[in-house]
Amino acid sequence: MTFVVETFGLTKFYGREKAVDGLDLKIGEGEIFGLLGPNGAGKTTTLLMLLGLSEPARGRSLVLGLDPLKEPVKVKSRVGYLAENMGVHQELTGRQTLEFLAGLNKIKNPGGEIDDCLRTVGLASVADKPAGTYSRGMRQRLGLAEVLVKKPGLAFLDEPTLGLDPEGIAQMMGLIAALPKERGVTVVLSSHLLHLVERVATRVGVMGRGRLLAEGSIPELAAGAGLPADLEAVYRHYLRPGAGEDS
Amino acid sequence: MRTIYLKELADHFSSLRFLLMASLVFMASVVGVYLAGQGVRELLSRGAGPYLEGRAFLMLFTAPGAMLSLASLFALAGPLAPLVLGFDSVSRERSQGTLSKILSQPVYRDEVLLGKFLAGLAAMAVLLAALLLILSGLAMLGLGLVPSAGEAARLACWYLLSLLYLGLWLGLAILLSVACRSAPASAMACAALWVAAGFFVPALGQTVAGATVVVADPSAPTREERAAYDRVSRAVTMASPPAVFGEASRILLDPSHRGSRQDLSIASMSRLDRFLVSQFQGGVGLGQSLILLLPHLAVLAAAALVSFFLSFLVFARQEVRSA
Repeated sequence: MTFVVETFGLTKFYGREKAVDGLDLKIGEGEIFGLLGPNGAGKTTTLLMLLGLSEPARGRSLVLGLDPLKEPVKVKSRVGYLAENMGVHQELTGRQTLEFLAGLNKIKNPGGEIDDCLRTVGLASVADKPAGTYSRGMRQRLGLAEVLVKKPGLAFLDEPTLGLDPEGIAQMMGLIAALPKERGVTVVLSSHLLHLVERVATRVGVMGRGRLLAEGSIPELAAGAGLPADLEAVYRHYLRPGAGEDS
Repeated sequence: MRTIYLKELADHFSSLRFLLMASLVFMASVVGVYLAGQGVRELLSRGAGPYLEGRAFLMLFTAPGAMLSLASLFALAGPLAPLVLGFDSVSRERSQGTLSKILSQPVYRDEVLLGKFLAGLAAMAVLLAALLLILSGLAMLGLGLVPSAGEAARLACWYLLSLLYLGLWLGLAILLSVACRSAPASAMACAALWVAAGFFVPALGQTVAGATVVVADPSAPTREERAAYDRVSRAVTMASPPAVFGEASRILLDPSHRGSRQDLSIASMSRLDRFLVSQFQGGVGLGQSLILLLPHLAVLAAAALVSFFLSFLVFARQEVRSA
């Protein structure tokens, strides 16, 4: 398996608190990798470091074979990032938003690509309305289109279903599940909705207090802990009070 | 950077705030020119025409109307335009959650700031050019005053000087919008800065001069005492951009500007300088005015560069997500 993300002892402090603590993570090409863990476990911080948006205190990482510290712009042109609580430029329409993003990525003649992305996420009919008028679900799908328009090799999706209604969640998860096969995008998905992650993820990593507590496919992890092949049980097992503190 | 520049420029021109600001600026300056125009017309009707040869048109900008001359009004109120355009340029992106979107694209952070800065500057350049042309047209229609070539050249130079001044304030506004986490906070900081530069520092200059210069007989200060007072007060006042710009405008727009009692620059000159300046009784040429202007230009440009450099420095070190 070729790895698109590799980290070696990645560590980050916010003040004196360790946000990420010696993280060793490997994510293979074509995977949907579920990055799990409670709030404050260091998932978002990890993604920001992998994008070169945040500097690690120690350790290093390789993203698509590039060091995000040394070549942040190259990494950012090949990695799509849907941030948690991503906002929209209220005054731009959906299409203008994608044109702006395509411009930032220096994509020439993005018209066809933009139409394709709008169709994929189901926003073609409202493409010329201001994004400020979009519902929460539409904004998230626009965010996904923003990721797709740059034709990334890798996508970091941070809580893409946060605040969506059940139908919106189903739509979003359907789109995400199709990314590796239809667009050749490796996905790192951070989410609290374990039953949905379970359905789409090829492997998961469970983070707690900045450390990677477990990593592998759900059946592997379950078998290792002597549990039924259920992500929720695995998650609870590795995050139980006191787990991982001895090592 | 081009993409950010174009988007920001389109935002400015389509925003309600820019429209409101533009109409306010137009109304204020039309009133100002009208008042100044009445004064000029009165002078002309008293037969002052020959003495005003070659500067009657510029007097529209320098003659005090009801309260302030247009140039002084611009020195004081002009900064409000860049502050209004720039105070939330970065803090709004942060609060609406689009900053991480932009920064996760393959652009450098200085490109983001530079694109926003240039877009604001371009919007103001268009506004100011339109304003000057319309005011000139009104003056020609209403007073029959046609600018001479020399006056037009001075006005063009003043336009560039004003852009530098507005650019300095835009740089400060962007710096504050980077440094402050929320748009309201940076709005307050911008307002405070404006009040300090426009009102507090000049008042401070008077206060410091009054406190430090010893005047033997307050009812009849000697020439030296008055010069010392002016020197101290000017040294403090010149710390504020409006004062620097105001003096530079007077040098540029008033060819006969060579010092009167309220002119602080002359009082502090040596006797030789005063002699040299008095040689230009009929007003100095544009070349001489520009030479007199060099220190002001240098100060304004340096301040603009420093504010831009600082905002880049702060922005580059900022975490996308706060702890």
